Amino acid sequence: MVAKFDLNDDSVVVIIGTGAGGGTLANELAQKGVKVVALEAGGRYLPQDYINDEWESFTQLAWLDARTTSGDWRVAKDFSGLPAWIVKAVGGTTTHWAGASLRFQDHEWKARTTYGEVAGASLLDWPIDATEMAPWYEKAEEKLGVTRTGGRPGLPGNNNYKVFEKGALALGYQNVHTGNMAIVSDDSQARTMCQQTGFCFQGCKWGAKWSTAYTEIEEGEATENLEVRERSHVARILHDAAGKVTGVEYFDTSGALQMQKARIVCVAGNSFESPRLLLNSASSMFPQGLANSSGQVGRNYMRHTTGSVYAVFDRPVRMWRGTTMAGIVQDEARHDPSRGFVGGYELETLALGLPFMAAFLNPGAWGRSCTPALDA
Amino acid sequence: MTKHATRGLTRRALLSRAAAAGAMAVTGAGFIAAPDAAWALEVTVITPQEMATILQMARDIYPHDQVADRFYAVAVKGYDAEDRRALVAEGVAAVDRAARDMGHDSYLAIGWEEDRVKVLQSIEDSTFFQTVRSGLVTGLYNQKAVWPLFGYEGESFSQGGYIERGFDDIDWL
Repeated sequence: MVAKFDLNDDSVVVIIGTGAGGGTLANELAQKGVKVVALEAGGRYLPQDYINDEWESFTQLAWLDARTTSGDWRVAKDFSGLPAWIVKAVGGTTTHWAGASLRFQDHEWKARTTYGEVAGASLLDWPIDATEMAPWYEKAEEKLGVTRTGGRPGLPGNNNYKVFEKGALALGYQNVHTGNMAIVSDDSQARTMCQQTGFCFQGCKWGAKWSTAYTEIEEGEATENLEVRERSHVARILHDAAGKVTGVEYFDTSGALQMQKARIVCVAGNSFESPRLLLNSASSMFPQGLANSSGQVGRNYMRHTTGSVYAVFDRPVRMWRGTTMAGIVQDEARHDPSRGFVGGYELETLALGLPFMAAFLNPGAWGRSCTPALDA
Repeated sequence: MTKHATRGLTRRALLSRAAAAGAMAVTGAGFIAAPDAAWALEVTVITPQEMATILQMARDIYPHDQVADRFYAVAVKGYDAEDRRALVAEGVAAVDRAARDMGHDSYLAIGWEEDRVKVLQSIEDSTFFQTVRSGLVTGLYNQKAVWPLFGYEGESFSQGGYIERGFDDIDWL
């Protein structure tokens, strides 16, 4: 029986969001006997519900609020107002993520110390390091079933990977493989092994890729200590005269405003919605929003910075067959300022279907300068 | 309804890269159609001439010679709607004006793709052009029926994925 807690039960822990952070925390607490109410803004979709069609899936899973951006970078021009590809559903963006599970390197833990002052940046060192985090990484890799860790084999290379590997080796790269992926690569694990179906980003219909939607959440619910309320969008975190949180206000499935009491509130709403919620929770005691004495909530937004390169081959690759993020080159991941920049980068290969290729290959371009790449 | 589809193409039309595109004809009352009547598109709000212009724009914006007109027609048929009437009327008039500025009778009357593209380039920042172009990104490429023409296979879950169906079968490396 699934747990059901009262709105006035102030002994529960409320977790906002059910993705990588919230979903995992919800299960870990539930396993320890802690009563948890997880509030999820989106609906519940499971592998049988996922749609292997790029645009249809985007409509099903993505958080469809229009997002704004500014500046002179290309995305601001080409995709002004496009929703971000984060997921509004039970499981959050673990439904959509590629599964790539890389550890921080030493220079990334200590960016300020290693890189020095970088003009225009606001670098800080993490107060933790690789040694302290190693056992936690191991625990996470075990939980997620990350390939090439804990004795788990790598995924087999698909067509896209083979092309990528051949090119990488020809350039002299050595650290090229099919990645450290939270995708089951053999029959020894509880989840189904990867069936090389593609559409990893649209939700894995085999459940081979780790997503909290069908791992952590289900395990947590089985303890009867976890109640997940889907389509429950938290609007505000409440606090008492002493400044301690007392609960949250949220819009339920019908759009009605509800109040759930809580002894602890965990905010796990990804990089836009968490700061948005903290800022929206401003009160007379905290006019800048919650947890914002620094004034930095909602600033310094930084995601993975990616640059995309596309290649056209004169013979078919059929890149969409199999694991979407098919391989990685790690030779450039080192910190080596002699290259003209601090930090390093991973070079990963991934596949797009025709609909997304048409949209993202060269946004805004038209005519025969761009269409042959789609014919290939 | 009468169909006066042009029988047979001129040598010039065949030679031009417009061959695939130029095959459509405005056939009078409310229709544009392929000469072999393989497809026809009925319009009720905008004029056949306007629809033919948008269809030709679609072919020139995202030209794929292996993709038949009927797929482009599906992609643009939504312009035959009351709430698009003004946009289309003003937009097509602007395209034709640009064509006349370059010495042509109209955009549709231009036999060579290269010349039509020059006309479109002169108006590519307009709302009308950008609406047509961005609409095609999904209107054309998100049609499941066109995917095989590009070799794209779509979903594979219903067939058990590619684990036993060629996920690693590349043989030319």
